Amino acid sequence: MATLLGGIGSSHARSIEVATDKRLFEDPVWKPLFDGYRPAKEWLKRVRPDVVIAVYNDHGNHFFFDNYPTFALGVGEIHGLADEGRGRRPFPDIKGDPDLAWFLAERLIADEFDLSVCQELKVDHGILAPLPLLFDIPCPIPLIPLEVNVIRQPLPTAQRCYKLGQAIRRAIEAYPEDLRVVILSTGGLSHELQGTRFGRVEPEWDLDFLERIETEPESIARQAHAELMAAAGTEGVEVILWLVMRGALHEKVRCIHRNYYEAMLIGLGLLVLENID
Amino acid sequence: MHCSAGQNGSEGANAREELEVRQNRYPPGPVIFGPDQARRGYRLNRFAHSLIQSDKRAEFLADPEAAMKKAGLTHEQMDRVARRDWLGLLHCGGNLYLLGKIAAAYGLDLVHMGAQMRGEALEEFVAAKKRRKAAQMKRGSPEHR
Repeated sequence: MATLLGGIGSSHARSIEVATDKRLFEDPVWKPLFDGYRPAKEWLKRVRPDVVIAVYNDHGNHFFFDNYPTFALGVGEIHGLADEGRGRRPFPDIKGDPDLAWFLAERLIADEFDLSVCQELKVDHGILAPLPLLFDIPCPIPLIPLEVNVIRQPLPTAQRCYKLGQAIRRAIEAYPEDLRVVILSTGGLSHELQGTRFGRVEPEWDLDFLERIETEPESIARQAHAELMAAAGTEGVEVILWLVMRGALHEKVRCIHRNYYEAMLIGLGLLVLENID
Repeated sequence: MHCSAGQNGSEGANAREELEVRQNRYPPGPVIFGPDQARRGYRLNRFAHSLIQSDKRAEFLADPEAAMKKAGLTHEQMDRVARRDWLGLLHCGGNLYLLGKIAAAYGLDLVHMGAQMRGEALEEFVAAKKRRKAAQMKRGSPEHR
């Protein structure tokens, strides 16, 4: 039986990719962020997962509005990198895990989560931004991308994301292979990137969110998109992705690590939670 | 037709004038990308999405108007692209992330788009953010817990 060891919530931002590519690890502006990820990377080395499920949102890169899925699962052998409009970033392709991914597809659809099943899926900074801060590159373990639409309304509800996480937990527990699994959700925290309030960040809300997602995730799952957007900025609604990760974990979890860093345009959060048996 | 990254730079006064015009025209705050926006902006967004291909970027930069005409943009949308009026483009159906592909083709970043949306010069916006960060760091990064 597969085991879900724990979950990670991490923001994603293209600026993290730029800082990584420029190797600004000791730059005073970026150092607190890079340092803040070390305990997460160490935890991953300690618990030795065999595979990571990565919940993220596409930014109009692989998917377009001709057919934008609410939920989509990448079941391919390899996930290529999308050219996001500036040429392909020099970064290796990501290895997939078709065995577990197809199993997840079967179980989740049988569990009434009718997601799109993608044999080819190019991933974007939604996954790639935090990846080198968590794993050595090339990523030593396979990754299964799970895409959630948070960019074109109607969006899936926060509650639906939480329930999807619970269904993922059931699927992992039913997987016959002895596999060690970690789930990563990216996105958030507060940011607003459009309109006259561009650049709005709400650190107080972010810190409260980091607390609540651990201890009372239902309070977030109950929130309407409009409420989340009002409090955390329009793009802050991405935090519903974290509910997938939290829903997959046990009710009782141990907080291994937490970090928060306010960047120019976004509150960058990090949370590592371990399942308690 | 390349856009210089400094377009928002020395024109702070103009940017503010423009903002006054726009504030009468658009309500403050965000533009939620839902069905109405998706319907009005479909061709604009589809065109923007095509720019993730390098040959389409080259085609656009070689002759922006021809590329946009071919993609079926409205005159208003073409005009706003040419003027890098990101706020105006949001209001005619553009999706933030797709508009980002147009900005990228011009060699612009998210902050360029954002400063324009706020009606500020880029330097003004960045300087305010830097002051905020410096104050936080002086307080000993209280946000780290």
